[in-house]
Amino acid sequence: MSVKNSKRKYRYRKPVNWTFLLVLITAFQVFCAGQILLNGGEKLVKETIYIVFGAYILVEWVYFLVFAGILRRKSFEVELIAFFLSGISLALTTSVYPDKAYTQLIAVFLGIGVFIVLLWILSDIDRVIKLRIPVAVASIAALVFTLIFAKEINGARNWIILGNGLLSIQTSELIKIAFIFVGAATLENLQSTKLLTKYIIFAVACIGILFLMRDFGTALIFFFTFVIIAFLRSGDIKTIFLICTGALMGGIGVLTFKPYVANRFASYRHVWEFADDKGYQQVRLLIYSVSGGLFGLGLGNGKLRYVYAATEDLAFGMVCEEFGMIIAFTVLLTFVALVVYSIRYSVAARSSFYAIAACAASALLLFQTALHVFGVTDLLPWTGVTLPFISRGGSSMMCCWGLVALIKAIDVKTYKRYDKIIKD
Amino acid sequence: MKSISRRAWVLYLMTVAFICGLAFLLYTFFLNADSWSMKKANRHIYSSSTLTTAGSITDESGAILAATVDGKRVYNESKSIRTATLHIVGDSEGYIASGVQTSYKDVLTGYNIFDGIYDLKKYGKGSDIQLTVNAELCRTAYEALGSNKGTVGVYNYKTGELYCVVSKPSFDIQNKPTQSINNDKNGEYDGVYLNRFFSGVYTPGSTFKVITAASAIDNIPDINTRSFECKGEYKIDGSSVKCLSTHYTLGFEKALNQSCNSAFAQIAVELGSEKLTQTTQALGFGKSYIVGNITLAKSSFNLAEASKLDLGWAGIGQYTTRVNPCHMLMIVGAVANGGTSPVPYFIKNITSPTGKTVFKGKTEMLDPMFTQSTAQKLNELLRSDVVNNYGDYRFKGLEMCGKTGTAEVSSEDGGLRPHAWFVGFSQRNDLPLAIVVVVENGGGGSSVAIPVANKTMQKAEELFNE
Amino acid sequence: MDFFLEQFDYLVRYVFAIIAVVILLRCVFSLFRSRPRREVMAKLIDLADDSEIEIENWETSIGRSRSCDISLKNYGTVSRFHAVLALRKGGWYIFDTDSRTGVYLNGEQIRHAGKIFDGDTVSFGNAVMTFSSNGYGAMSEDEESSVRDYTNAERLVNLSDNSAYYLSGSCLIGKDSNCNICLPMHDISKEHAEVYLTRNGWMIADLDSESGTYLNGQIVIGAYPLYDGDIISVGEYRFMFRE
Repeated sequence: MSVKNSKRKYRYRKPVNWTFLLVLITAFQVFCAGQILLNGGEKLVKETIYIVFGAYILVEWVYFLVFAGILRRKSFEVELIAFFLSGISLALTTSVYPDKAYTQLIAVFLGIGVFIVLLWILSDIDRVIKLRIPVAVASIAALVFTLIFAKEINGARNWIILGNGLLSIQTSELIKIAFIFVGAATLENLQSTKLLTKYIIFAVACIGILFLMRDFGTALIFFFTFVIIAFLRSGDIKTIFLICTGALMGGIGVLTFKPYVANRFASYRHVWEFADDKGYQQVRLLIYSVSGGLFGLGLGNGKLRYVYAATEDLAFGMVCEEFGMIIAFTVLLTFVALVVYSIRYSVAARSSFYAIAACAASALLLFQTALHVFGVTDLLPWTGVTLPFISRGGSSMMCCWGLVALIKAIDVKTYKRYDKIIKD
Repeated sequence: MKSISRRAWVLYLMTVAFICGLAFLLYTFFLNADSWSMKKANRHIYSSSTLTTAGSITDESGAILAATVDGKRVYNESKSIRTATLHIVGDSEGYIASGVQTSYKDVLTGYNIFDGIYDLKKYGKGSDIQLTVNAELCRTAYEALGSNKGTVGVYNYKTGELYCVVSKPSFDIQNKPTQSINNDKNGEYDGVYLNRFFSGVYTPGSTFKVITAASAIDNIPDINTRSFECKGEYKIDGSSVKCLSTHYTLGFEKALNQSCNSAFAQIAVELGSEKLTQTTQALGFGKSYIVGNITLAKSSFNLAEASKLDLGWAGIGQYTTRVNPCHMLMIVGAVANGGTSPVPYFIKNITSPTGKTVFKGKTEMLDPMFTQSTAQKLNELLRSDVVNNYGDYRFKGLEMCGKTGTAEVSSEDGGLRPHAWFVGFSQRNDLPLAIVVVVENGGGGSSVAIPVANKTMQKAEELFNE
Repeated sequence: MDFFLEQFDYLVRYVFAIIAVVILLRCVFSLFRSRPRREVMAKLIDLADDSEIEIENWETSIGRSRSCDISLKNYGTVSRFHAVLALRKGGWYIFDTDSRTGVYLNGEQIRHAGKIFDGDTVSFGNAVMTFSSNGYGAMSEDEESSVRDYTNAERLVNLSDNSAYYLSGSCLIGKDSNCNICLPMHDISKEHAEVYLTRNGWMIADLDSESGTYLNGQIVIGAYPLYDGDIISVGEYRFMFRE
């Protein structure tokens, strides 16, 4: 039989065993806690570390016991990645800013909450379709609200601070999820509304407000996501090309007529010449990244942590110096894996909504990672965006968990409970 | 669905671009790791732009030349030793590029891309380096140079160990005269950051006659029986190569002893540019030698556009010929060692923070420069130079062979004084040392360079046999 | 104690890297381990020439345009983007996406959306088709899955006694004692069937057996891809494939 001759065999890959990996993740986090205890300075309060890591590990186990043990869900790869990366973020925050550890812990918990809720919302496509318009209106409203009432931090008016600084929210981060949520659509929806007009209006409104807030990095991410979604929806290269050209012209126009914007990029590709002013942070990042070597110096042994905004804008360098290049680059490759995963599963998604949402969400994560990593290492102009999951920040943590929920929703297996316990 | 999943393939472009970016980033990290990690902004290693945390540097006898004590970099307690060994030890700010503190910075700090700066964090220092250089000998050589600029190098022509490396001008690293160096008007600190021994090139003058002689021995069969006519100058194409005195008729050996320009210009013209270039190439002119991890300045010998007159001048070490002192030392070392010189080295051993010896300086031979018979012949000739011309009494008990040089650096009268050279070696079996001395604008080789060489070699003998 | 702390600090760096790489690579490989499920979920039978159109997606676009999943090029009265057939929670639906000639379900024009059942006739312009769902869309997806199931490793579950054979590499099924799954029954050939892994996932091939191998009730000729929940029948034995 011809079939027999033509078949080629492939090596068998075992599926992930969540208990084993969760034990590894727990071990990693316990080691992190140990290192912080060992290398921590006088500022350190031991109880903080015990509570933060104890609570986090507990929540991880509870999550898996509930979803895998009781609800019998399958395929936990995406969650495991997210838990691991959040763990790194938590370890860095606890080590560098012990006083902000609880805030970050709560942010991670909120993120997990967002993840669970979003997955639940996404389980019913009819519910999703009904929610799209309200979400669009709400996000514009939130952005306008932010524009009016926001505090200016680091030259960008994108922080809403409530209760005397007890709670500070970066609205634009949360709107990222809404932006994709509104942009994705089911196939019949796509076919009956061939024009992108409504979505373009929404996107222009969002990006415009971000520009007014002077949050250029986020505006760029939104624009990129918009281009991806617009292309996935329409496949219309001509229009996309026009939009991109327009944006490029606009960008050049801004740089020509507003020289202070161009001035921000004066040190691009020349950071070493500006080692003590504009390129200060980047130069330190490069020096300390290679100082860490392949295996890093260990949590708490680094020097990059004393540079301003180390755990936010320079998060990549922190991982490089204290955890080492191997971990840093593996983390980056993980984001690539999420994109490839979305592409591969897009054909079998339950609706084009999931396909578009997952592709856009993973592309957004990768694009943001690229802007962060290449920006801070001076391969691209530096826009000061955060590294997904790793950078400290509550809003961005919630956003990342939300995006991951969008990615996970693409797989049919996420929702299917296709096994029942035998009744003996 | 089909169309959407097909469009999603566009994202592959993005991932490919991202991975290319990552690969490039990793490449730049690996490429620049050594230089970036050693930047002064790295507070693991530097504090206020001074190297503070690094391994110690000791000389051949174990005397400390540089070390880190309580987070501060300290040097030898003797001011004259600090000054004499400045160029080989290097400074902590990295101005002296060929100094060990700069060129072996990654060893001293224990940096490697694998473990990063971790060893430094753990032990407070990197590896310790012991040099083959003797600090006492350096001091003697430095003092022997007197008020002149210049360089002295001594090495063991059997093993390659550099015994003395001195470059002048220098300064005391613990009281660096920054002001004087920056506002240097009369040239007192000209090229103070340059280690002249490794990185300098000079007109060789008469020392080059050794090379012309080698070419003659190889290419002119009856050279030993030839006689040359010297009338105070040698006429070529209407112009002439001047000689310092009128030697009348003299043989080959005598010509070298007396350093007769007429005779050697004549030999050079007879050899022709091709043969002479061939010899210099065999000796490593135009080649970059690597000593430790320092690349020597290239010696150059180029007759491509030379006239016959230029050829004559080139034969006596003038014209555009430039020689690096360390390279010259290797050439006489080869003469002394039967045609082959060892690669000079100055790192005796490197000890890791855990006390393990991770590197030991080894004797490695260069490609042969001369045939054994040529080397033997040159050996005899150079010995007869000392015996018959300079006088053996000037190197008491050393059995020196050698050749002086007086390299004209200014064509006008009353211009700069010539560089004084001496290259040579001891024939004694228990003293296998070769020496090169260059005294910048010092005057005559015999009168200026020989005393420096003698003082250094006498001290070397005293130390060597201990 | 200090000694241990020192060693801990030194070693943990390497352990860190190993753990992190193991975790992340393991997850990433696992992400790509199983392929998305692709199988015939429903069929449309074109009444004009009795040709079958297989539907493999949850959402399928129908129209004259080439970029549609079902491209009805030969029908002049079909709009470029005419309709969408979608599997939703409640079952199969057909959506009219602003077509010129409308979508008719059992002769009645639908307004925007209509639920479609097995055996319904649906017409897009002058293209008339009957719809048959391939078991999908029924409210209870019970199948035969009364199987205790904790892991998601690939395996063949013998439905008679719920014993599992875990797949790794290829698996021969037959009477012969060399076979990975040995079934000593007279109506089973020596080497009856083989389950093996290819780039496109697990496949089943019949090895010229006398009584034949059945996949979900259909006879296996050549090789077929296997998906989670598929039933393989060999003689009297039935195996469920799980992944």
